[in-house]
Amino acid sequence: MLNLCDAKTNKQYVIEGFENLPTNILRRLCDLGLTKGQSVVVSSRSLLKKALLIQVRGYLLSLKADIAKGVKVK
Amino acid sequence: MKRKTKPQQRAIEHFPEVLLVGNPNTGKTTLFNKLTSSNEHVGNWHGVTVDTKAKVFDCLGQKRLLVDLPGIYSLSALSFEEQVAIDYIRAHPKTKIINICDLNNIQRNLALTLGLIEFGADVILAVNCMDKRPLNRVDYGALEKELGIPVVEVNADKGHGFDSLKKLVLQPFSQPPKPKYLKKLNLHSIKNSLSQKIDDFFAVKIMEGDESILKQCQIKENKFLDIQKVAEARFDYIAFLQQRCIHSSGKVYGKSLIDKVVLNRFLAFPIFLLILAGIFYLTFFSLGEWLSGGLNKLLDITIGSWTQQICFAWFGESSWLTHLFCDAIIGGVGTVVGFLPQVGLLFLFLSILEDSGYLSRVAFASEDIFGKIGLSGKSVYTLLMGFGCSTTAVLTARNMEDKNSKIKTALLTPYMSCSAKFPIYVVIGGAFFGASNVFVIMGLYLLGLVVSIILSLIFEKTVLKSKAQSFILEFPPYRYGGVRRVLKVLWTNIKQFLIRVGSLLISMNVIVWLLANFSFDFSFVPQSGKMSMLEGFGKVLAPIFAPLGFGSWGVASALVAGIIAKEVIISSIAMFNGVSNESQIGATLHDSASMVYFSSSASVMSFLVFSLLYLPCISTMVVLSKEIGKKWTFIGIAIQFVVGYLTALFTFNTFRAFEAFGVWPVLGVIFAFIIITASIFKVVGYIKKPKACRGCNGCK
Repeated sequence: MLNLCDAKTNKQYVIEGFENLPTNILRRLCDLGLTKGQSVVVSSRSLLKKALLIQVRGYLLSLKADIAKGVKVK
Repeated sequence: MKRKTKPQQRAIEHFPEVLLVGNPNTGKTTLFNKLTSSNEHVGNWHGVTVDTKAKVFDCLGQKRLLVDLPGIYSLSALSFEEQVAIDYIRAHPKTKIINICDLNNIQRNLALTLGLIEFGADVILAVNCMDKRPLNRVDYGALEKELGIPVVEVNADKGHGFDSLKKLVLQPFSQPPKPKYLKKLNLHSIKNSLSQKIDDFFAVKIMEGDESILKQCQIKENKFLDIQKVAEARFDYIAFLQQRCIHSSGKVYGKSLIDKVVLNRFLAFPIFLLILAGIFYLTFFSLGEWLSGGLNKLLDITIGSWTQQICFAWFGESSWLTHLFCDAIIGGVGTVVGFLPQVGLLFLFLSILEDSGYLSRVAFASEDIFGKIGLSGKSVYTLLMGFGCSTTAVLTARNMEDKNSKIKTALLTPYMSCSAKFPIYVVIGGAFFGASNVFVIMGLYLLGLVVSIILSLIFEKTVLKSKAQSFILEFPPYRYGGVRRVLKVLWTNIKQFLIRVGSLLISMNVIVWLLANFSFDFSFVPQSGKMSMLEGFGKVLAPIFAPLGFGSWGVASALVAGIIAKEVIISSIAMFNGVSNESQIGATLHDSASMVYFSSSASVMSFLVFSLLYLPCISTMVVLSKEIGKKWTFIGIAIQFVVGYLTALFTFNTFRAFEAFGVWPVLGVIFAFIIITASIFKVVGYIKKPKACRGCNGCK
């Protein structure tokens, strides 16, 4: 299991759970369809790798690397 | 909400409300504009609508008040504009809701629909299909049966499906059936454990840890918190709906081959800078300059000379009314009207950027840089809009997730070179720097950005430390609005500019002209030779600006008048110098006999820098006060004046030194000063560190 932040680009992973995320952020991720068992792909990273672009549930979503650290994937 | 007069407000309050609710960027405002024949701002970006808008529309012969709300993902807010929408929905539980969903992304959009059904709202699901080849196909009958709410396909842009939608709006209130998945959540255990009676919606929100609901139910320790369970139940149900009612193409919404280049880690930011440079070049120096020159000539040979002839014939050559019309209205306002093509082009390019879906990519590319200075990539949108108009740009700071980021972004927006400041740079800079003025103008645009970055860093380290932003941002697909949309945007901006010129600018110029041409005993100054009222006020203020190199009362008065609207600065100067177009002003600014003139390039540079930074216009101040409060507005204005003054002082003295000693020796001294200061800070920091910690970065 690893953090979404460390996931390889363009490789499919499955969300295993969430760790150390504030309630409002976790709620928002869940509202956007990031739920356990959902597949996710990291499409791109920003210059200093502080932000990630992911594919989830058939659309594109960007989030901060700090938040992606709290998303556990396999 | 759009400001309305009290009788208008009372009149629209009688009509039953219909709320437009949906995820960001699903076409709510497009639907609102089409239904109400409005022209509200739309764009292909998360969070274009930041406030509620309401307008009455004809619903098959009956009147309804349509309320367009900012986009939301659920009934729990993460940013300020979402809070506006959620508060409104929660305060109107028995109101008909049109929940607009994007057909291309319906699987994700349905999560909000389920949230609204949990709330017990009377929902109509309007599936917006604006593409010829949508990514999904829906069996609407089956979806309607499963959800238990009416479902209708619409095309918000073309108006397809509106009759069906209106028929559904007219149906009486009906509460949707409770979603089946709620049974899995074991909500009765929450309901039973609380002393007060709550419904399923409250119980779900307690499980989701919604702060406002917890506060309302007086729950301090939430032992029922299980956000994932709620989300999984919803999305499992959506997966079930997808199996039965939705056929998906399997393509990723928003994904494009262009992104391989545009989102490349190393190319993304340079590409953005290149696009910006292209926009500025086309707007200000090539196409824009050519159009502006043509318009100036046309105005001169038509309206300018006709007005002069009519005034001479009607009032006589020396009448004060002739002076008022020729100097204040034709001279002053005519100088600004000449910039109409450039202002129109700037807004047009900004709106093309907004519509294209590229801004989300820019926000992504700049997140690293903006994150370092205590802002978010989302701030790019606000700051970029600031190049157009600060007043409307400040409102978009509501996209921010925490209060300090919102205050910071709003306070930094007026430092951007808005379109109203551009005529000052062209007219005054052009008179002194000729062809090199291109670089001066570029430098001024850059200076506004640099000053705002430095201030953001200072704010971040001192009083406005922001919480870490999540930067959760959906990527829209690339879109092109079409020629009709381009022409519409162009016309809207030209109209707004002309209205602004025709109302605010003419009235301000008339006031300034009257103050400049009448003495305190109301005698006409050119005939009586007495001191004008403006000269009296200006002479009191002029010494403040003397250290900056432009201590004449004319300049001081123009700057004060410029607080109303920045365009007034240049129109006032044109009026004071008795000229009516750009080229004529240039000559008078060198002439010491003119009311407003500059003695050196140093004083011109100082004036340009001060004009860029000194104060926001009055309408921006009002919006700032509404958005971030009076205290921060006052502090922001005070800081801006001090920053503007000190930067202009530095510029004036540096350019004077350039004139006296040459450029390179002075740059050398400045560079040495920076190195020495940085070294001192480094040494002091090293000495202050405990001895054991020196040279170790183990802990921070």
